[in-house]
Amino acid sequence: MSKRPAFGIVGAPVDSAPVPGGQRQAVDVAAHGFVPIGRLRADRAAGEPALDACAEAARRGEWRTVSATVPPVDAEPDLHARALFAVAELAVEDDAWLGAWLDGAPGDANAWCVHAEAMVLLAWRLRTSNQAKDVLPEQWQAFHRVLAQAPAACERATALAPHLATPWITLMSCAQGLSWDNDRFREIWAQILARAPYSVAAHMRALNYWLPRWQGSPELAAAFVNDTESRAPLGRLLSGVRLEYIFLERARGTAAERTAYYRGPELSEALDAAQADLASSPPDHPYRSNHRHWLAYFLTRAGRYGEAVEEFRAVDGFVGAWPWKVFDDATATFANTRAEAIRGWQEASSRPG
Amino acid sequence: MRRYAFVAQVLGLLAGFYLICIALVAGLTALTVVGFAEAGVNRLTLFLSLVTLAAAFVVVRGVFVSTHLRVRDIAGVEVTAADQPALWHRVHQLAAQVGTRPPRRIFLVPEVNAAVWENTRLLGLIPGKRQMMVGVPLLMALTPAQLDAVLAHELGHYGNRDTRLGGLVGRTRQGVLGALRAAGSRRKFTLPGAALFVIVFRWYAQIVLRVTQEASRAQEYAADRVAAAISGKVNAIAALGELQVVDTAFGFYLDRYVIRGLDIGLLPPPPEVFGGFIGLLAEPSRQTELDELRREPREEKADPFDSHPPTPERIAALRSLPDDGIPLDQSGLKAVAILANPQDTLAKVATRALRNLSTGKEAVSWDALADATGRRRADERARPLQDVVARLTGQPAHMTTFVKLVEAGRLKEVLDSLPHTVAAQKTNATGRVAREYAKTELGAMLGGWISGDFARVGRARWTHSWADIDGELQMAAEVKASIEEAVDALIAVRPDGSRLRALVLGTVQPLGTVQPLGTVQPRGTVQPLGTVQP
Repeated sequence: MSKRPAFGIVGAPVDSAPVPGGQRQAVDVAAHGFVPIGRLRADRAAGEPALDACAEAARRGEWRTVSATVPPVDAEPDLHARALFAVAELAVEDDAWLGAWLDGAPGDANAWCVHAEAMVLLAWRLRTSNQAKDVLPEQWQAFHRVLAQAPAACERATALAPHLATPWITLMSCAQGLSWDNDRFREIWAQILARAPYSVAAHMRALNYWLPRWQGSPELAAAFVNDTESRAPLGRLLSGVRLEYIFLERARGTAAERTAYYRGPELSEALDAAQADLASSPPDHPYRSNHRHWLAYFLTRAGRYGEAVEEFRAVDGFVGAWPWKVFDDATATFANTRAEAIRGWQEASSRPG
Repeated sequence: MRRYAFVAQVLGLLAGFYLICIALVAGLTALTVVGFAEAGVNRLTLFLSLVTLAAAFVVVRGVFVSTHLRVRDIAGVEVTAADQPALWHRVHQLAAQVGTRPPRRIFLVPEVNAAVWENTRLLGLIPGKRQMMVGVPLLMALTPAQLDAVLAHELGHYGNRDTRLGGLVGRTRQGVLGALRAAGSRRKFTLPGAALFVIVFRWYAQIVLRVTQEASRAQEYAADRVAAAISGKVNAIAALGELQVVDTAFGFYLDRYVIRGLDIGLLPPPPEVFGGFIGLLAEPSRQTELDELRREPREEKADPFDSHPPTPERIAALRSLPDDGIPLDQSGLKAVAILANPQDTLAKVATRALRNLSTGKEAVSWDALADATGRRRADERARPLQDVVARLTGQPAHMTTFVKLVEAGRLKEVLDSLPHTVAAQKTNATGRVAREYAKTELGAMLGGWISGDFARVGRARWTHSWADIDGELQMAAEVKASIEEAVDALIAVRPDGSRLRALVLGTVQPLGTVQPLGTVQPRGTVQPLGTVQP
């Protein structure tokens, strides 16, 4: 299985599901009530009609509908960030509606948030997710040119809505891509802590900055994850940051080494904490399904198939979340992992005793 | 004993070479004669006689003239002892130290090369006039001690007692390789029967090379030891390492500086041709690049016919010699100081070197050359954009036409019409992503277009630079800044053409091509493509 590390994620672990006996058995997912491979979707999760309406309006160029559908600037920070970032994705390929929105409502902080985040997403599309050495000079040039214009849009949004955390979260990606130094990043982070101290969106993104492959180091990344863990109240789903960290940084080496790591204590403890976090989280937490995708992936890797199947059941049908979207073929990775979980779970339950 | 066996072996190979030559010509002649006698004059026999003639030609090249270097083949200038007393004196000293005859003629050549050769007669039995060529680029780049090492190496090929066999081995190798060369690559036509000759002589060349490779290499090592004994081990090592560096630097210099304006009829004046090389070598940023090359030399392509061992092995062999106490020449002097009247001498070599190139060309200063090539480069850069503008508007591509297109909201169309960038092709980019890639190109094209326009009205010019092959664009700082701002604003994520408009209307007006902006064509009124003007 090949990897397509997305959003600057390079060298994420790649696994093919190990099957005892070496032969992959087909699993009849539909029989267990799961969505068949052909109907898995990568764009939006089912049950998010607001986003569907936004996409439809954007396609028709009706920026007023988009503007009216996204959460207001005083919405809960994660709810706001998640929705606006999803809307920004709609502008990466075509931004005519966004331009009209900015022209028609220049005082709308949300429009500037979407504009800034869309530039960040566009910049990374231009850079591609290749390793730095494989990025062409013209790709670097376009990446830097576009990314360098995003901070101004963040500032504009902040000026219009000073309490909004979302533009600061976007600004962290600018810091990551434009190689801003650690002190400058810490100032941005302080602004975020003042506005949204437990934002999952903010923490997930900050972790990328602290990775050794960007502007951090193994020590700084580990320190950030530990600090997050010690600060986070139960139920805020910040335990997912450690899972992301494990995915991006810890699970390395040969297939055998990774398998050993997955069955080891580090992941096991992280999974226990993430499950407890989920159990205490409010049902309407915006990052609940994202959290479950992480659990589904890692519980399978850890061989905790029964628990994994539960998570798959809860988020089934959508393959556009982390970690699936990092892989070249998100659908296949999701489907294979899900099949492995179901098979493992069946085998365990059919074994006597 | 082994030595005699080897001599016998090489003599056998030489005799074998002559036998093959005789057999080839005699056999073909006999075949032709028989052919004519039996079948008369027809296509086949005529062809056969042509093949026979070709064989005779190849054989003659191999047997008689292959080791001869004719003076008219040397693209250099002969210098007499009266012209260059110091150089002649040094060569005589070196020859005496090596213990061999000095050359009778010395040529200065425009190549990174030095050689001593002898046009022997009667298959190498009668010694001929000994001649030497010294490459001017070596004089400019090497220290006196390094040049001594290079010349001593060349003389060493003749004087070294260990390699008295050299003549015989060289004769054999050059004979068969000369025949192979004569049979093979002809630029304009192929000799009749070439394939046959190539097969025969390549087969034999491989045998000869296998037997003599060791001896040839031993000769090179021996000549290196002579060089080390005379100029000092460290200087001989430095000279060897430096040869590749000088070669690269001089090739770069010729390509990027000397002949850059050839296609628009411009050359630097002859006295500047080698003077410029000194200028390039003295430029700090180039020195950094050359230092990098010295630290990490490029790998040489292994040539199976090369009688020289690879440079790293030669350097390693020199390093293993005992220390001779001669220090590294760090005087900062260059060997060119040995020349009397250097300016005129080097100009003469340059004139001779460019003889075939310079007819109909104008000799201009480096700055004039930089300006002319800078303008051409700017125009070339602008051309794809100008083509698109002309195509989309049906009007001549003036900067004002482009500004009007942008004002009419058609920048997107322009971006979509530009040639696809490599990045866009590689990533199958569409929409915004493809357009952002195109903007990088657009920025460069626009920069070329504007600076070309400014140069035409005398508001910008390029001056020569040894650090940058493109030269330096000379333009008022505030104008330069406003051009950059205008281009940046235009290729921004949300493009803004107003600065460009102000710049074009405000400053390029003297061109007389500015039209009122009132005639902007909205989309849909584009004229038919047939009206695009050249």
